[in-house]
Amino acid sequence: MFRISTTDVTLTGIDRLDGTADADVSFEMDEEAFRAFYDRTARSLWFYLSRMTGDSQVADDLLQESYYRLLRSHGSWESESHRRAYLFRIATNLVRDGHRRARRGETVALPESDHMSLAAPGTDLAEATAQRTDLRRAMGRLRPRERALLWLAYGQGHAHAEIAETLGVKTGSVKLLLFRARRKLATLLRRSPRYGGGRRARS
Amino acid sequence: MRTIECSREQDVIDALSSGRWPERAPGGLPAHVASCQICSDTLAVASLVLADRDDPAVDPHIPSSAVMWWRAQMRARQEAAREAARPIAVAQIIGAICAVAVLLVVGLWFSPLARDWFTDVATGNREFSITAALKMYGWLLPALMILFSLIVTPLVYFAVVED
Repeated sequence: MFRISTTDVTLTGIDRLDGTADADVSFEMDEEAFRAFYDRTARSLWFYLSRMTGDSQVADDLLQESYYRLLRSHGSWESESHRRAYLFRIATNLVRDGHRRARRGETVALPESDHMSLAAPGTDLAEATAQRTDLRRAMGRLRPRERALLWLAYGQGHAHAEIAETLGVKTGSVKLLLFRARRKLATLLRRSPRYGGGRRARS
Repeated sequence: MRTIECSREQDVIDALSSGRWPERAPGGLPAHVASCQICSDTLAVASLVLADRDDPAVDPHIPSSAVMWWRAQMRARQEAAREAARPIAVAQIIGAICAVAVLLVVGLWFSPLARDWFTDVATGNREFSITAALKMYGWLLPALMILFSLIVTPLVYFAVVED
């Protein structure tokens, strides 16, 4: 599974004694700008990470790591959208590194029980739960890049240029890659038993 | 040529995102989706992705921006302290290596075996030859190397890895 080295953030005795703990470390972004940017993006980034990794705890870790790396970077961004794309690119690379370390091959089994609410059969909630199960099962059969494309395009509503920047591909390629990923996922969803795919397969 | 996009794709996404699908969708859109493979795929995928994103059961425990800023500050400070301490660690390693080397040379100098050899060379009783020295005391070199690495390796480990 995913593993990320996180540094324990505690004050040492020396820090307390010499008062360095009170001094600010300078980042490219000041506190006010960072906090405003974080408030605007943290939730959507967490969802992206959670859906990419299939593990909310890993998403928590990667969220912190992504923002820390953003703060430590010495980049200057033309716009909010560039900065957001850069943040998502950091997150995508962290997820990719996690996948490489996990050595699970191209597909990752996303846990279906993660955040799944229990619902009585026949209710709207049960239907929604079943839909999410189908989605995660099908997403788990996609390649990480395909998952990222679909989440960025439909879950985050990012423009093609921003997706290209995040995933490190050409803007012109996004349209085709997205088409293929969407086709694949739609086919997988239609094959699921709830859509009659299972019955069709048996007949 | 295969078509990979449809001009009404964005309308489908907009209708889904704004909760207007299917009852209040723009005129003719449901009929178009029924006949267009691309829009039909978009609807199938985007509707589930959006529903999953807006799942009320998901409650992410996202730290506040103030906490995140504080943690980043702490971590950066620790990393800065580690960076600052690195030259000291390197100097300590070099110093330790030099000390061990000096100890070995001094030890070798005062050993009776080496003293005899050097005395013989100095008085001319023995001709200085590296090959002859290696032949006679060849065992000493690997022994010294092993001893040296046994002392230096833990020093390097504690200075670099533990740091």
